[in-house]
Amino acid sequence: MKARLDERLLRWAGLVEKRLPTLIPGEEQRPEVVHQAMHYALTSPGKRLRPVLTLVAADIFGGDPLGVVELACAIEMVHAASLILDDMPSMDDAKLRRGRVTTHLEFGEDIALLASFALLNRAFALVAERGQTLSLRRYTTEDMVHHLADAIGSGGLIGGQALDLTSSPEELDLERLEYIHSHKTGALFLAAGEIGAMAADARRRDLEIISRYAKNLGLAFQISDDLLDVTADSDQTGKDSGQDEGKVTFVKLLGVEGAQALTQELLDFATASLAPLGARAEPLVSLARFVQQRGH
Amino acid sequence: MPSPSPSSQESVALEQVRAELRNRGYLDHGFERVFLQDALRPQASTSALLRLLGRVTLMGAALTALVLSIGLAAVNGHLTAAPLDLLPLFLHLLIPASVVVAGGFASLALLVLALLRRHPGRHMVTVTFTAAVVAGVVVGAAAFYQLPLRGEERSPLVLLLVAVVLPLVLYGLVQLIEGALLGLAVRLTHRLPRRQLVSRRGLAWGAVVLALALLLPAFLAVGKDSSPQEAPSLPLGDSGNVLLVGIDGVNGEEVDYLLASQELPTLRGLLAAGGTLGSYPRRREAPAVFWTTVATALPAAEHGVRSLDAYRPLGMQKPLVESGWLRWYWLHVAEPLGLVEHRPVLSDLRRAPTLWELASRGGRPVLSVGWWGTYPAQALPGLVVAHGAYQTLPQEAPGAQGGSVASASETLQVDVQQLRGAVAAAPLTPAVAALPKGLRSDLEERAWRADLFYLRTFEEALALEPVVASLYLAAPDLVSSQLEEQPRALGALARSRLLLRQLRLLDDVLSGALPQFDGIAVIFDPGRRPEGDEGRILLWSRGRACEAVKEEVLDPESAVSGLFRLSGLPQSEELPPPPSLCPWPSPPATVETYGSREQSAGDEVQGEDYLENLRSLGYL
Repeated sequence: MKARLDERLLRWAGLVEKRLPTLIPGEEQRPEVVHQAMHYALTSPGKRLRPVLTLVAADIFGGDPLGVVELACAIEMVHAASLILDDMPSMDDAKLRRGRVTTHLEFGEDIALLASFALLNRAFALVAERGQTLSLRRYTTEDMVHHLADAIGSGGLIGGQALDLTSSPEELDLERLEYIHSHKTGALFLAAGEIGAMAADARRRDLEIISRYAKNLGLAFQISDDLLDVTADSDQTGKDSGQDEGKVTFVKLLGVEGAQALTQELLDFATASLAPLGARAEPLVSLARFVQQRGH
Repeated sequence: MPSPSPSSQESVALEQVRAELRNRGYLDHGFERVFLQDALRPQASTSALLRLLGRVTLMGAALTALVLSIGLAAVNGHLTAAPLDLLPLFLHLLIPASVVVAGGFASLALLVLALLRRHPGRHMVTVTFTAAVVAGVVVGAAAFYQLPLRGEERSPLVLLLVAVVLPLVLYGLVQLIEGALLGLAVRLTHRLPRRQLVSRRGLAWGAVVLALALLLPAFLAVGKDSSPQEAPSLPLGDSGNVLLVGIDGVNGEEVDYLLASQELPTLRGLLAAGGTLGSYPRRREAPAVFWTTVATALPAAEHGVRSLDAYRPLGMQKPLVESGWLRWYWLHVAEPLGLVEHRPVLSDLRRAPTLWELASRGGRPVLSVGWWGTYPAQALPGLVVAHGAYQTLPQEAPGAQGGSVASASETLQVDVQQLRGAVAAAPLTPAVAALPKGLRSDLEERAWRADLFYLRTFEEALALEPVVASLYLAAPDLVSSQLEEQPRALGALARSRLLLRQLRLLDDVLSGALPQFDGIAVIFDPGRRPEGDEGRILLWSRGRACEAVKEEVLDPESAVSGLFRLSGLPQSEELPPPPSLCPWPSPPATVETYGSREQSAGDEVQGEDYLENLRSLGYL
């Protein structure tokens, strides 16, 4: 059974899909090729889990999703930019991404690299622009920018990717594995949830709840990704299968059943963390359920 | 929510991974939801349940023992007098608290799970939270059931300390129980909680409000300093001699009947000479508490005697006079294991002075014979023969007078040892002698000869011309409790004969004593008698005609307050006014208090013999 987001989450994902191409320069604008590459990478079919997390987090704390959608799109831009870099020959050397050939194969490494940086910068610009219109009491635009920068920097995505690239399978222990996953994948999940909550001016305590949820969800998502690499083919995942063969993953550590059990456990914790928020956290529970179905 | 179950090898790896991840902030709800974490772990249900029960027992017992030890220390006056007693008390309470918490939690868990089975899912949080709050309230109330705190604990500093610690403990307890029940519910229903009924802040405020409610009486009492006070100098008015008699084991209807049937001529004569007979509802207090209330005209909270015995857990400096429901544990578990020292209620536990103690200030002779709560006997001018003296005199060191059983002034010519010997050798009255052998020997020593000794001692000591005299007789009560087990016909017949005989004896003694006294109160209390809901008070004052009591209750405290007045003592604001039925002399003055005594809780006299005596009389 292919995992699907529930209707409500699909609507949020649709909103993001619709908005994404409008937030970057048109493909016909100069430099056309960079813009085309940006559009190519950004609008390729994806689940939009991270921006959906941003929108849901904002929504449950009383934020206006329509006002926050640009922040959600910024998160997706960072994700798209990271995928471009991940797929490069010097890194994972991937051929397929989201059912299409990877950006560097379509536009060349040079353009892919530029498109990636362009997307990153556009993301920061969006957060800075939108943050100023939100009239927050508890947080500032700088807080959100700072969060995003941290999630991307050497203490975030970049740090995780760097360790992933420089670690040989023999020296990969659990501590390193967790570091890689929590930084490569978890950091952006965390930023997505937290920026959404901040955009709704959520209380610190609520922000903590979202952080705890996103942290567990992010790792569960990554393990489910590892599981898919083993259990699904390229048609199902939209990317090269068996890419993790030379790597240590939770699936290799624990076996398929063990990894599934751990995913389940992480998701249960993520869900249980939401109890203080009551029924309004239902979309986040649904998001966790989606990740759970994805890994099984 | 059921998880796939990995193979055993993978389980080991999974456990390691899980531990590592927990160190890194995953799979963690923080302390307050520690049980939820357990519930979500894929492990065998039995071990999960045992682990959860173990944790709840340990943590819950620690919190419960803490709140109980604070409560017990507070009501026993240890927070200020012996604060270091808190630690041994806490350790002593850990054992019973563990048993209670384990049992209580298991019962609560069964109840909650049964409820959730009927109403699954959405009621999980409500049910578990409600159960946890109820449990927290019960523990808090059990610990502080005897508020208000003792006078010496009413210092704002102590109250502040209790007011800070108590909410924290209650908060922790509710969180603990809720978390554990929720964890259990999650584990067994495979459903996750989707909401939280009350936020942490809400719960914390709830704990503060509950703690304040429990402490309210104590807060209200702040400023009412009842720490031992210097005895004020008491200006005496025109004093009359007064007599207070207490008889246990006689119910009101029996008194009415015997008076109407002219069996007790002296008492009847007192009524004819302006006395009045009133009734009061049976008091459900231990006899030491009730009769001390009578002797002081003050309630137990003020006079400080609240039970028949006290316990000193090992390691504690001072004994616990009040243990509430924990008394059962001290008596049936801790004492047989040698963990506590059992002590009887001793006269030095009483904080308030008795009528005769007050009247003796200034050296006037007084007499007290056999009254509850007078062991060891106080050294007062005149003669004090302690409660239980008949049984404890033979075990006393030579020279009983001045010892712990009887004390007397040097001028007294009454030799209580000799009197006891004479009574012990006297022939038995036929009503007792005719009883079956085993029963006779029991009643003879415990009741009949003992009361005879008190009556004879009283008669002899009247030669002292006491300004205040008190006499307590327990034979009817002891006879009644002894005959309860007899075949009904014999029991009823023997008891009524013995009662009549005993009251006639008293009536005779009163007849001889009457000329010496200007005021008399005789209090007949049902004691341990199962039947009868009322006691009677006969109140008489020479030359002052009292009105007949109609519907209203005549309180023992107020009746005795009349004797205080007659004896020329000033009126204390702590005492109820004398009953308006009789004309009383004006008090020479009004004082705030008669002062209070320092409690020593029997540090000097252990009272093992007296304790044994109380046991043999069936009181403990």
